[in-house]
Amino acid sequence: MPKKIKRHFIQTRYQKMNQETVDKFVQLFDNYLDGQLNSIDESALQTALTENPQLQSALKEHIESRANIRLVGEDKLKNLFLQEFDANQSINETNQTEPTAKQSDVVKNKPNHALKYVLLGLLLGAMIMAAYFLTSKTESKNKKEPLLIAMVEDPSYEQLRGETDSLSANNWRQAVQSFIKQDYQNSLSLLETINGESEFMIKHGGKYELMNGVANLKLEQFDSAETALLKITKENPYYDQAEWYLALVSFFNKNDQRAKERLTKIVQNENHYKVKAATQLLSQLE
Amino acid sequence: MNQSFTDQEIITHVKKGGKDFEDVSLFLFHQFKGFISKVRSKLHLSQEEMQDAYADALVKLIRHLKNGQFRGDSKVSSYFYTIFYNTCVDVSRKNTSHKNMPTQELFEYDARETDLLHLMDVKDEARHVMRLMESMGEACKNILIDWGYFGYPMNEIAIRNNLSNAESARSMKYKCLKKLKGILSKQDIRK
Repeated sequence: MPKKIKRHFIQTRYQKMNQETVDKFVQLFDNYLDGQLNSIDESALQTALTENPQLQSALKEHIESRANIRLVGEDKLKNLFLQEFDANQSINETNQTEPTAKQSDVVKNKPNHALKYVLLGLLLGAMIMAAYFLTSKTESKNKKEPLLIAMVEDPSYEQLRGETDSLSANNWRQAVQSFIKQDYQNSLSLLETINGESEFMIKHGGKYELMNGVANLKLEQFDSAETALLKITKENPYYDQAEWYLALVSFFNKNDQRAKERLTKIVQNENHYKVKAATQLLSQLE
Repeated sequence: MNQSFTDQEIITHVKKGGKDFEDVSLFLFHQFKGFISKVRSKLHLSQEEMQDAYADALVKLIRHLKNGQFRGDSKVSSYFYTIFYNTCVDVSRKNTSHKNMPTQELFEYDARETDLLHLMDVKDEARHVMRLMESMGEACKNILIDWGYFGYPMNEIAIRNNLSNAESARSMKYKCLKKLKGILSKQDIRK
């Protein structure tokens, strides 16, 4: 324990502590909990705690608070991991449409393919027939499976900052739940009830329009999806997500030209969270 | 994810908090995914259960790295494998023996929190944490998590939570922590 802090313990042992002193101890405990203090002088601290019930109760309360924050933080981290599984799953599904160079090599080098053709050749006794199968196989390998709307991953909508006890906040939470259950129609109806709440829209307009847009996209109501997503301005933290879903709206609406423009814009921004997925989709369009 | 970390860097980043913490958490997520199929072949759990156990095990690993419970006697990957395997065994046991039994989830203090509580001679109470943050508003919850769990600095907390600057983030954090302590003390009175 640093000498300065040790001196502080000794000085405050027999005094009634003011808030500032308690805060200093709280800071010390925070450092310890955050792993920034390697060891604490247990005996000095224990003496200070024993002789100052006020300090003891303040610190006990503080540790309990930090434990609560940790638990909720761990829940949040776990959800991030589970979302990562979902995101990977959609990327993998998209990847299936176009194998990478390495994957193509693996497919080409699979021995049972060659064996299959040799056997076919032997059985049929005709090189033309084998060539026919070889061609058709290659074609089917290169054939791209369409990306389905159902594969589109959910946006991040979980955070609601600001007042949460209002009717709007409750309706928002229900809308999120309906969205998770893929009841997009109900989600949109609940969002509609919030629409008039100007205060809510000022604070949470970005995430509102994002969910509104994606729910409409899922229901293949492309015009409404586009209108909602276009309301998310560049300054909004949800803008990057809006860019991605707008590209998907054009893609599924078969407006290839617009989809290409939007995807190219994402690809050109190397910091965009959807660079890889946009590149894949773009190559599919081209 | 192209970034790679050594064991020492993993520990440093986890303890540092903020963006480094999130980056290394994501790295760990991708790094150990191969263990899923390995454990799945031994214990017959569903894909969903495996994913849930994997996420739980990663959270536990990060907790141990953060609070110093991991002492570096083994590689982080081996340490994680043990945690993950044990977590999956727990799920498997629950599936077979307690299928229809209602279970009450208990939350434990972590090693450092327990150490500090023991210093105050509150050993009996130092077993379980009562979860009380559900009643708090999302804004407060997010600020407290960003500060107390993810370890973001105040200027970044301000950006992440739409606050004007680090000073207002600090002031909000102080108010929210006070609010949480208020909730905890009310709970104590009821006890």
